[in-house]
Amino acid sequence: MSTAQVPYLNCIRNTLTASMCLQNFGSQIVERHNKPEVEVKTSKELVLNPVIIARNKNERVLIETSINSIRISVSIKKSDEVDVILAKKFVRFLQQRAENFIILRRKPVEGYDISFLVTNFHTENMFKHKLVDFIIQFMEDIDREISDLKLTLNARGRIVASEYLKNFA
Amino acid sequence: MLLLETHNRILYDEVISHFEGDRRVNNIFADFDGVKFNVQTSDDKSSLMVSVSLHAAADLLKNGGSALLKSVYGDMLQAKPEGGYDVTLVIQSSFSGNKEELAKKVSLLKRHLVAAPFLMVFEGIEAKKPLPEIIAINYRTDETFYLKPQGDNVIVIFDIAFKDADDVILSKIFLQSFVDVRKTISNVPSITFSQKDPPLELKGVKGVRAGQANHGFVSFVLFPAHIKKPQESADLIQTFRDYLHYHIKCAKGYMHTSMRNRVESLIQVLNRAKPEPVNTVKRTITGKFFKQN
Repeated sequence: MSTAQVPYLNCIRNTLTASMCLQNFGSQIVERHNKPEVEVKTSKELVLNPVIIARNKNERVLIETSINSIRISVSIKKSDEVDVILAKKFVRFLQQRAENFIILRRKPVEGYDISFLVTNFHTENMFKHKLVDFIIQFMEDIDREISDLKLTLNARGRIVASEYLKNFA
Repeated sequence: MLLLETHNRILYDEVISHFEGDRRVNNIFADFDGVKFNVQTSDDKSSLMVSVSLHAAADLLKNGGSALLKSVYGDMLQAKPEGGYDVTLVIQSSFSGNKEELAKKVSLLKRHLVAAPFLMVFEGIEAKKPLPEIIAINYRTDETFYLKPQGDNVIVIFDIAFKDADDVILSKIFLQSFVDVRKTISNVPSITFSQKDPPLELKGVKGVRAGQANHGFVSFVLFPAHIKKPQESADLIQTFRDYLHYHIKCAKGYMHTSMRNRVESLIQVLNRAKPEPVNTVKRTITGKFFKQN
């Protein structure tokens, strides 16, 4: 993890830890329904104020909390066209495996690249601090992966080009 | 091996196996740039017909192709190609010379055809013969390459189309490295590329696809040193388009594997969040099982 990222990720970690206090809460509108309130938004009083943590225009996280669920949306850094392709590919990859990722939301919230939905059932079955770890790790990994791939892409371009042109010289 | 081969391996194997067994074959197979080959044994098995069809055949044959094929293949060239194909070679089963050499020669059919205009232009410049101002070869349905002699140099311009918008961006990285190579290796052709407007050399040329989406132009300036080695230069330059596309696909493949690995490691991190199931079955001191609920 680069040092520049540390405060950003720390801030996310603390906010997540604080906001991830969920309890079982059945729907107030429909009897015997139990839905993540942050998704259905049927009762205003159950949804808390959303928080946006932004490093810059592209790199930001939206944390929406409610009584029984929390939604985390991540926008990945995109400094150039290649980053956009790589981010798109990576996110598609994850979403195709949403089943394995339990907390991954199949569709990102508008304006973001990828979203997670954690409900009280998840926090009951899993360690809360490990869930937070996962999200932080995820954000680190995705950044690292993209910059790694970009480097190898450039290196490949250089090798390919010089190998071809060497034969002319 | 990073570079692409210029001969066709299937064609080579077909010719070799024709001399080895006495099977009757009628095979159709493909090569880069929409090239289609057909290998057919004649009814009495006395000969093997190799036909090729390619998009640019008319352009190529006109620009030195027919002369070159005649000098390379001589009697093997059938005067009238088979229906649906552009060039047909006939190999007699009674051929007694070096079969591997023959197979190699036949498998280079496409290379000879595509190299023809290059060789013609290179030769013309060496001999200072008058040459057409520009030669356009429509080697694929929506892609063309142009040859423009200019003084002692030859400018080769590729009009390359990309099916996928992402490929355009990836190709930019590759092409930029092609441009940059000149800084480190001397004596290489000078390369420029543009992803929007055609280069100035193509000004006023008919049929240039200017301003179309996902079209890029790459120009090579071949210097006299390259023209001195005509066959090598022609071989390299004719594989350029496929070489570029091939490596873009390789790069994508690499990204895919690397992302797959990363995703797997992330799943592991998430699984760590699940508590281990508590071992509920225990043995008592007498060796019986004790189930705890």
